[in-house]
This record gives sequence, C-alpha cells and structure tokens, in this order.
Amino acid sequence: MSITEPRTKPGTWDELLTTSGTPRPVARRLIEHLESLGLVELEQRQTLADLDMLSMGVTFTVYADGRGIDRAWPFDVVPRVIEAGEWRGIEAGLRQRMAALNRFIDDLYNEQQVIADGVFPAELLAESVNYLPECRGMRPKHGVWAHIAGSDLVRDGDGTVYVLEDNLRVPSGVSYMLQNRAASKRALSDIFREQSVLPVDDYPEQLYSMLCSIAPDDAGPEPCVVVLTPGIYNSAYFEHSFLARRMGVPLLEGTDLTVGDDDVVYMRTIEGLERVDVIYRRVNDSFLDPEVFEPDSVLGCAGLLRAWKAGNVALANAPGAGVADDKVVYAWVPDLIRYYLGEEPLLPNVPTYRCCYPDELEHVLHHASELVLKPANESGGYGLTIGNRATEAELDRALDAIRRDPRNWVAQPILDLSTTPTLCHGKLVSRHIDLRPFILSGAESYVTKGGLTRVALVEGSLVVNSSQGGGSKDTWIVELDS
Amino acid sequence: MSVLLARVAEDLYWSARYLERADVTARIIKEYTNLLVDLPREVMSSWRPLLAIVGTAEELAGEQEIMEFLIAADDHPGSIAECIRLARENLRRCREIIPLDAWFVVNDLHLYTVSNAGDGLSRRGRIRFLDRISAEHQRLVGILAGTMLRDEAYSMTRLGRHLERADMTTRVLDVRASVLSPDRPEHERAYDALQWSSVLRTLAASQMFHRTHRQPDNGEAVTRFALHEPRLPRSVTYCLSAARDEVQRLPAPDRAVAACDRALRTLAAIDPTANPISLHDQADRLQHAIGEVHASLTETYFRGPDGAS
Repeated sequence: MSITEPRTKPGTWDELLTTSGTPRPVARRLIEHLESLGLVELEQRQTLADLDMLSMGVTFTVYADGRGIDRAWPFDVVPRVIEAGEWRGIEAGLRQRMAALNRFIDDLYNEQQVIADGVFPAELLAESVNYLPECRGMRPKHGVWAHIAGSDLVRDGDGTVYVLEDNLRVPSGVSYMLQNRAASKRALSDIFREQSVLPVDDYPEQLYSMLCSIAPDDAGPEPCVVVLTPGIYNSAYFEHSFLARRMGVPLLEGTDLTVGDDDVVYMRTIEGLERVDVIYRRVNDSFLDPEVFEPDSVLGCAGLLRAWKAGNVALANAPGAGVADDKVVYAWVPDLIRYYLGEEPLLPNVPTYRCCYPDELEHVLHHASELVLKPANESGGYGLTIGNRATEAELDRALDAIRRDPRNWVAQPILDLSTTPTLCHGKLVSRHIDLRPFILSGAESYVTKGGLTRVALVEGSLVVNSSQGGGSKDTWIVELDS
Repeated sequence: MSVLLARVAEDLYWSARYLERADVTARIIKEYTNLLVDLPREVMSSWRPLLAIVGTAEELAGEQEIMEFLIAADDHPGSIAECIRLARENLRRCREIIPLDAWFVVNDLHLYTVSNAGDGLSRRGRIRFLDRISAEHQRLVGILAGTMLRDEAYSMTRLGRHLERADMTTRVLDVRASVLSPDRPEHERAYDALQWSSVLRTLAASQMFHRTHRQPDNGEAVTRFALHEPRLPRSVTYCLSAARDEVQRLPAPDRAVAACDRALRTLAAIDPTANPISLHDQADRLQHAIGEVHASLTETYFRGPDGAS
C-alpha cells in the first residue's frame, strides 16, 4: 500500500502529488523517504515532535471563557515543498510589492501624489481607519514604513500563486517558522542529509541588522535595539520572547519605558534610565501612545510618538503603516506597483470586488454565494463569510453588514486553496494550506526562504488560523537535481 | 551602563526564591515524613509543625489536609505546586535572558508538578515526587552556574536563592529547635539525637556535619553549624555573605550592603546555647533583618529610578 493513497480532489492543486497520485519532481525524495518510514514510524515521530513543542514551551495563547490558555504549537511533521526556481520568482514578486507599498505609505503621509494623479481615490483615504493624521509629514529613514511584513500566499487549482493579503502592522508567525524547521530537522533528520533545503535560520540576524539600519543617525555604531511586547497574555508572546532572545536584545513591556522632556525614549534598568534607539514594537498603533491614541492604554508608553516624530527613536513598523494593509487598499496594489515602479506585478492579486463602488457592490450582492466576503479591517480569519459554505442566515447577516457599510467590505472569488498530505489520526490525508513569507525592509530588503505554512486541520476547511484550529508545517525550498 | 531591566531583575530574583522555596519545602516534608514514621506516636505524631515552618496561620489538622496544603494547593503561594507555577510565570518573562536549557527544565518541572502533585499526597508516592522536585531544582542551578554570564542577571538569581535559603534555614531551626528544649522530661528527650539528625538532613547538611563533628547530633552543635558554619552552603552565615558578595557586583550597592551587614551582625549575636524562647526571639529578629535586605533590593533595583515598578 502506498503512503500517498489519498487522492486529491479534481480541480485542487496538491503541493506534493500530481492528480494521478505520483510525486511531483520536487517532492520525489520526500515521498520516497516517507514511504520508507511507513505510517506507524511517522506517527511516532509526530508524537515525539508534539512532546518537544510542549516541553520546549513553544506555545500560543487562545482565549476561551475569558481566560487565556497556553497551548502547544500545532505542528505537522510532513513538510510542504516548493521548488527553488519557483521560489525565486515569488521572492522577487514580494520585494517588488513591498517596495511599492512603502512608497505608497510614504506618499500618503506626505505629498499624496498618488491621489493627485488620480490613481488612488481620495475618499478611500478619508475613510480609512488605519490612516493616522498624526503621522503626516514624517519621513522615516530609507522611506520605509513597513519594515516587517508578512504576506499571505495561496495557490489556486491551476497552480497559480496569488497574494491573498499583506500584513503590514504586527505580523506574527516567524518564530514558529523557525521552530518548525528545528522540529522537522529532528523528526526527519535523515533526509536533510540527502537533499539541500534552503536554510531559514538567519532570520533573527537579518532582523537585527535591519533594525540597526533604521536607528537614528546619532545612535552610534551599536544602537540600543529592543522588542516591545504587550506582555505575557498576548497570543504571540512566545514569538516576542523568542525574537528578543535570538537577537540578544531586551524584551520590554510598556511600563519599562519612559519618554523624557527631551523627547528621548528611556528604559528602566537596575542602574537607572538607559536610552533606547530602535523599538521593534509588537503593540498595535492604537495602544502605542496614550498621549495620542487610546488614553487608557498601559501597553505602550506616553510620549512615544513625540519621540518618534522628533527623530529620537525608530519604530518598526512605523505608526500608520497599517494604512496600506487593509483589504480595500489591497485591490489597488497592482496599480500601485505600476504607478511607483513602472513595472508589471510579478505576483498576481486575487480579483477583488470593492463594495465602495456601486457596480461592484451590485455584483457582490447578487453573487454572494460564489464569493468570500471580507471585512476590511479584521485579521486572524475573523468575520469572514464563505458564500458557498455559510447558512442562508449567515449570508444575510453579512450582506446586511455590507449594505450598511460598503466601504468596509471587499469580496473575492472562492479560491480552491491547494492541499498537501497531512498526518491526521495516523493517516495521510489532504488538507488545505496557505503560506506566509516574511519580508524585511530597511537599508536593504530580505525575504525568508519559504515562510510559515499554515494548514486547516479540519477536512475541507479553508480556515488555517491557529486561533481557529489550524496547524502548521515546515516549508522546504528545495533545489531540483539537475 | 546596564541593560538589565528593573522588571526583569525582579522576575529573576523572585523565580529563584520560589524555586528555592519549593526545593526546601520538599526537603522539609520529606524528612518530616521519614521522622514521623520512625518515632513512637507518643513522642511525636502531629504534622502541624510543618505549617509553622512555612509560616501560615491556617487551621489544618490531618496529614492529608496538610500535605494537600503544602504540596498541591493552588490557592496559597507557599505550596510546592504554586511556587513552581509562579517561578515558571516569572521565567517565562525572562526567556531572552536565561539559558534556553534552564527554561526547559522549569517548564518540564511545571508540567511534571501539574500532573503528579497528587502522588505527593500519599505516603506511597511522596518521597519519589519530592526527590524529583529537589533534583530538578539542583539541575537548574547547575545549568545556570555552568552556562550563564556572570552578569547582573546572574547576580539576581543568586541573590534570590541565597536570601530564600537563609530565610528557610532560619525557619527550620526556629520551629524544630524550639520544641526540643533540654528541660523536657527524660522520656521525651530520648529521641532528641534522631530529631537533630532529621534537622540536619532537612538542611542537606548531615554528612557535612559528621565530617566536621566527632560527636552525636545535639542541639547546640547543630544549631551552631546551621547558623554559623562559614563553609556550609546552607548556613545562614554562608547565605548572607554570598548575598553580600553578590550585591557588591551590582551598581549602587551601598544600601543593600549595609542591610546585609546589619543582618550578619544580628546573626553573629545569636547564641546557640540560649534557651528555646530566647532562640525563637533571636530567629525572629534575624528573619526581620533578612526582610530588610529584601526591602533594600526592591528600593534600589526593582522600583526603577522614578519609583514606578
């Protein structure tokens, strides 16, 4: 019996197998290896990997009954494989996208040439909740606002890779990408010797260099870089701590910081106040500075924005960068790439209906059952309505919400997300996946080799978010044997 | 300039205190259990002195009830399970500072405690459970000692451990010694040597005592050894001197050094030949002086420069 027995359903692209069930060339060695192990051995390695995650404290927090529960990170031992040549194309597409998006943000907070030239509608900017007027006139170093980005990629039935969304605020997941690699090296150590999987482990060093490259000019050769976390109850706390540890920098909470009358940011050490030059903040814009935003926030620090505007501290990502990651702006990204870079987009967008336009709204209202309806400013898969899976009542509720506030909604055709073999209850079965690579932008740019593959563990489900029962896989970028 | 955050310093300090407390509490329960099994019921049958050692006013009576309280209870910060949980919570906030292996030990120990604390309640599984707690703590201390930079973060863990140890040694002596008055009737004193051996074992000092003392375990010698022996790592003198050395590595140490010196002077004045009541008073003063050292650390290092914590 072949280990790859589960056939993929027609019209769905499987990452490892062709429609006839034979391995794709890039996955041949992996499949052979899995077959030589057998399902029983594979299941045992899965059990060991789960135990490792638990005892290493690789966790994320979910909220149930008003209580945070620290759960072991769900990891599937069967990796997802991408051919290196294809990856180079995707990588170039992501760099291009981030270059355009950063130009766009910089433009919106300064000249607004893109609006003057009629490429981006002024009324959308006026209604954007993520546009922060407080940031007008700021010019962060290198013109970069979104220093750390995570773009979600999906592959449709015909094999085309699309960008589904860009996360430009505080994207998370990169530490799990690194932990997954560590776990898969342990679980499948033999195969790592047989073929070359491109390494991901340099991410923390790359992140640190990027953060140093955006330090204020007077910070000196060794700027004081810190990570700012909302604290231990944040669902991504593990990641904040992981990145601080791997970069060897302090992990701060809001109360560890203070901004002086000199508009300089300091942290409270056992020896007194110490100047901070660069803050990789994992606190959302609205909680960042109670002087300017949420007045009751204790997660940030009063005066932070003042210090940033005075040029005394660098914030990554810059406040207001989220203006470019709402799901409505998404629809304009191909136009923005052409406008700012004079290039054709290398990575396609999913066709997107913008409910703010009456004709597109009309289409959405009439074809709702064939569409995914998305509120513009939710993340984590919340608020999504999938037309052909929702009950009539659910669909009606979503359409009501769209009619009330069309600007806040977009709709996209229901993509048939690609699948990959996944170990479930001792069997290999097809499960839908996506991919989140991470892009760093500072003096230079960097794209992770692969990213975090998320998998919907429930049969047929398209929801991959870990907060909603999704799992994850290691992602291998593999050079094909010539 | 230092980059050790005041908050992190406090977390490191407290995690070390909680873990030391769990370790010593485990030893106390273990040796008390062993002793109670050995002694005739009319000499000693109560578990309540254990409660006095951890300093609680709870009115508990039976062995089960008291074990539950000391080992597994999740509603008071002195139980072993709660100490370990709190230590893990503290260290979870310091994972970027302590060696990764140290974090794994604490995390594993927490998982072990959560699923096995019940074993500690019955006599059958108790010793095995308690030994594991002490052994894992010693492993952790070894990892820190073997891998950590000798910086301020390391000093915080040593300070926490030594102050807690000094405090616990003082409590053990106070409670156990005060009931062993030489003025008691003869039939009660018949087992005193056994009791004093038990005190030594509780302080993990039995073997070291016998290497230096050619005499049977007796109150005066044991008390002197546990309080004043400068070469014994659990003696109060050793712990307070170690804390003083550690403080001197920190910035602006004057206040904390002065507090250590006051505690050492209080300690030096304790006379092991005194009667139990006077010994109890002196132990009280010593605990207060140790508390003052703690207060000086809080003021100087944890509160931050503008008084916020």
